[in-house]
Amino acid sequence: MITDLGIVGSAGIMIVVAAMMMLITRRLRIPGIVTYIVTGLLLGPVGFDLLALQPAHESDGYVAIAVIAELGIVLLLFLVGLELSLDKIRAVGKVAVSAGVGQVVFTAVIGFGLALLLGFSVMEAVFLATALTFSSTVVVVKLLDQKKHLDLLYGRIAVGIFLVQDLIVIIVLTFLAGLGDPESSNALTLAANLGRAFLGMAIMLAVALLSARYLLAKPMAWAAASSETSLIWSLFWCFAFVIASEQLNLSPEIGAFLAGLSLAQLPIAHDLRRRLHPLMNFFIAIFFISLGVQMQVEAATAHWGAAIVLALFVIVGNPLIFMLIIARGGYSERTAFMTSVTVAQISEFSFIFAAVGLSAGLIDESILALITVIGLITIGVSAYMILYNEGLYARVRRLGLLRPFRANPHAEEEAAPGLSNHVIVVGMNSMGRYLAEQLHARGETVLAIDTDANKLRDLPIHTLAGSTDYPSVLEEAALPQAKLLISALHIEESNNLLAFYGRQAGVPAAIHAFDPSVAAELQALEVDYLIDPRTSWIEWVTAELAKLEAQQA
Amino acid sequence: MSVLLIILAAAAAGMGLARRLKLPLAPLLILSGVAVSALGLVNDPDLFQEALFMGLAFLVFSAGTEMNPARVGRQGKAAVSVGLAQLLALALIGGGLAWLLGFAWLEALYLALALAASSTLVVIRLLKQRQQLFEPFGRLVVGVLLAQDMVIILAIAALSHIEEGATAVFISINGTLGLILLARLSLQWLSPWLLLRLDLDDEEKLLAALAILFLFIGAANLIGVPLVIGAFLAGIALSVFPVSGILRGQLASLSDFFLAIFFVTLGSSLTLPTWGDLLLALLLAAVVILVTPPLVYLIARRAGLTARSGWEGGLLLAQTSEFSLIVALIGVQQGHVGQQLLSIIAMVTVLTMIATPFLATDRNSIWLLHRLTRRKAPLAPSPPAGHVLLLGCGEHGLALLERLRARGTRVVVVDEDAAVAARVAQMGVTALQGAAADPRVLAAAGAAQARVIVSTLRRMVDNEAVLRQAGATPVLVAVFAPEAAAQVEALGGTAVVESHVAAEAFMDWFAAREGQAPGRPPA
Repeated sequence: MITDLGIVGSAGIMIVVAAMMMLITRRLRIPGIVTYIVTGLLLGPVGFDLLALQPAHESDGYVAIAVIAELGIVLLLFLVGLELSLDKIRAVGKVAVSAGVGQVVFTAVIGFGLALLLGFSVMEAVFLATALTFSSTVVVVKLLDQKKHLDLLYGRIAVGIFLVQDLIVIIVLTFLAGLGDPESSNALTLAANLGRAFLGMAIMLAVALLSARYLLAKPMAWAAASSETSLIWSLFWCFAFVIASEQLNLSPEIGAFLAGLSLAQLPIAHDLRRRLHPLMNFFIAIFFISLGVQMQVEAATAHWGAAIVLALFVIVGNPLIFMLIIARGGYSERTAFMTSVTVAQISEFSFIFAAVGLSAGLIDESILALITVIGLITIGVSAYMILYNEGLYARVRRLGLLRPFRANPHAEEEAAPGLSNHVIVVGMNSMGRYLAEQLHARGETVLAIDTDANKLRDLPIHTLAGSTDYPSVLEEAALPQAKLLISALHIEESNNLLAFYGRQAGVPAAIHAFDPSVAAELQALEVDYLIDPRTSWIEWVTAELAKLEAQQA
Repeated sequence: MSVLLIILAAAAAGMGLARRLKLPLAPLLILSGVAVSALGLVNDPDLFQEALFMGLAFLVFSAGTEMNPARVGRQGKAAVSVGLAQLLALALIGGGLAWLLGFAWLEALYLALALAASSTLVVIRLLKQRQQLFEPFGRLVVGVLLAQDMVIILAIAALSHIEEGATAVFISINGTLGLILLARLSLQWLSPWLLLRLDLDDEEKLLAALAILFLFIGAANLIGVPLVIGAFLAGIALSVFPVSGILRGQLASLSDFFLAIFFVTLGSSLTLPTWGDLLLALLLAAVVILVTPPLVYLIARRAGLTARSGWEGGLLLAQTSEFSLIVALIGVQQGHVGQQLLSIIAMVTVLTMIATPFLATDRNSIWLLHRLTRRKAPLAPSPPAGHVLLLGCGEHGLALLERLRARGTRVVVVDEDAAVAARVAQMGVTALQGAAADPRVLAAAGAAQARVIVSTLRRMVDNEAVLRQAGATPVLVAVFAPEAAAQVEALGGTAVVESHVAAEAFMDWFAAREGQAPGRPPA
């Protein structure tokens, strides 16, 4: 009997309520992030007050839920690093820097002016402007990942921009640290701290790139045969970088990103991303829910008008300045629009920033609450905008609102050709291989799938390394467009699952029935053909015996 | 964060070592955890504890999702009897030993329970690796694990209230039975509705599955039983096909992650044992390893399985379980049991788990088969002639035998398993019990006088021996992989490559299908 559930209990309440919310609001197709934050609001002081979490900035020890939440951000950035490569980042470098810096300057200056106009004091206006300036890496990356658009051009530009903004945040954080500690608030110490931070980053980047080339390939290839080992080893690598960047006074996210980058070129990166996703999703959910729990909004009632004005400024103004900069960069109108939409919110960092200001006595509770409300509105609205950005683009374009930007009307080439009318063969054991080769000899388009990349070498056909237990693998294999699904696997459960997915997709299936005991279930799943080595063998031997009989007679 | 780094470093080291030495993961992760605490790296004991519980919940949850009763197939009844017998025998011996050595009665009870269960993690992983889950002994073993897990769950519920008197225990057990019913209902209605009928995306499915986990944990807490019961039953609620298959991808990395965390943090929480403790642990490990195989063999044989299956199953089940650790952990938490007992149980578990891959090998089960199984004298004083000699009468051989009998062909069967030979003899076919590679057995079976020799022997060494002694008689050898075919052909035999034969049959079907309807129109 455990009355104090601790981490399990808190996480439990969060997940259960979030799941209920998700079920209730399913029809409204609300972005997951919004559901989580609303769940947090319901659970926290704003709602039913079932959970009281210490805000992360107030605790200096370990608070277990805060650790889990931070874990989510770390894993998310690790995934982003795994998705990209240095070349891809370099390609969007210029526009990322100009857009990132440009937007920071623009929002800071105009935001400051707007705040003054709305009647806030200079100090309050400074805080509001800074809080409004940065966009949320976590929210945007999570949504792009959900849409599987991280690898599209606009996704890469967006990630580049957020990385640039993260660097600026580091500068601001260094100043903040100086603010809190009177001894080091002179210019020299601040400059020294900044220098140390950037030097540290350069060193980590160098380590990441060098290890990618020289250190990681062999060990990870060895570990690749066992999925748990490669998962734990890559997580260890990620956290080594995270701790290193914390020691260097950088944010843990940058460390995680660099760790991911160093693994991105390895053959296991693809599979690793697939495996890390659910892990990341769990922790990120906790992050957003606890964000919601920690929001205190009652004190903002005095500033509702200002909240709406400033929120609109972020939602409309930020994308506007982006469109201007990116359209100038020669990118297509579609790419420019999609990228611009991603910056229409403020960052969770803004809450931290404001909280520090509060504890330093520079602003009061109502300003913190105001920033929180702006955060809620902008994150909520921009989540919708990003999730449904294609539809939004079509509508805005039809209204002719994008013509003044004079962007390149031709969209960039992105879509990769897909397979269709092909035969999928799962399991490259001797039977699978033989089948694949025979079908290929007949002129069929064949796609071979196996969890072990080594088994896919030297095959003259399309290959895909991964486990068909993951629906995303079958998506990549273009199952609905296939004409036949074959499994040569010797695993009852995987075969049953393949038969199930085949039936669901309306694709005929031929499954290896390696034992009479598995045949019944496969027949219940309406498999079109049972590959039965035992029966085939018996028929063959019987025929051979008959031949020998005839010879010897 | 540094806590995580330490745990992950230990896990990475443990896993690398396990892979290198081809040992199970769990014991090596525990040992890395011990190393962590020995090196003084446990900088935040509270966070380690929290991580332990989170890891525990997920570990038991994933164990539950693997407990699909459908996997057991026809071996259900046998599994229950084997499972309960093993449980009772080991519990009595272990508990008795502990009580004799001076442990308190409650501690002895916990020790008895801890010794009684075999490990789902280690065994199922081995079966998956060797692709033997579907074999009769594989199914038997899965059934045994399932039955034992159920008993342990109820026992945990009873033990957690044992000091409060019989009524509390009664209520606790009833509460657990109620939860089991709830799990059964969820399995039938809730899980399929949530995960099949509703069109949820991957993330939403994960959320739903985790919500079920935490709801059951909450229910367990409400009833007043340990949360592991809730977590396990939540897993069972999600164990039905196709729900478990659909979730496997989502839950795999979560359970891998938390598994590593659980074993490392457990290892780090163990106190260093005394020499006396170590000796006791060795003794108990020996008891488990020596008692389990013969016990399982005896009952399996009585339930109708072949001798070989009995030994294979018995050797596979000769270890203690992650559930043993869980039982001990709960005991420590309730204050029923001291750290010393936890360390002893952990040591027994580590020792027996490491021993399992070395014990449960083909070679060992065959050795046991020959050494400890009584032989029957070979039948037929004069060797037969003009027959088809069938070497090895497992599932393959049996099916062929029935086909040949139907055609009226005279067949003589050789199999090293006495039960198989007896069964074949009952069908009215001449059967010899012995090792087919043995020249005396081949002579008695009339290898030189046979029309054809058909070999379904699994090991290439046996086939090579037969081929060398076959003389002029043509030999057909069944192989699965083409590489083995080359060896067979080189020695003058005819290899029947199963995979190719099956593939050819499939290609015929495919070609005929294509002839009827040339290709599906692209979607």
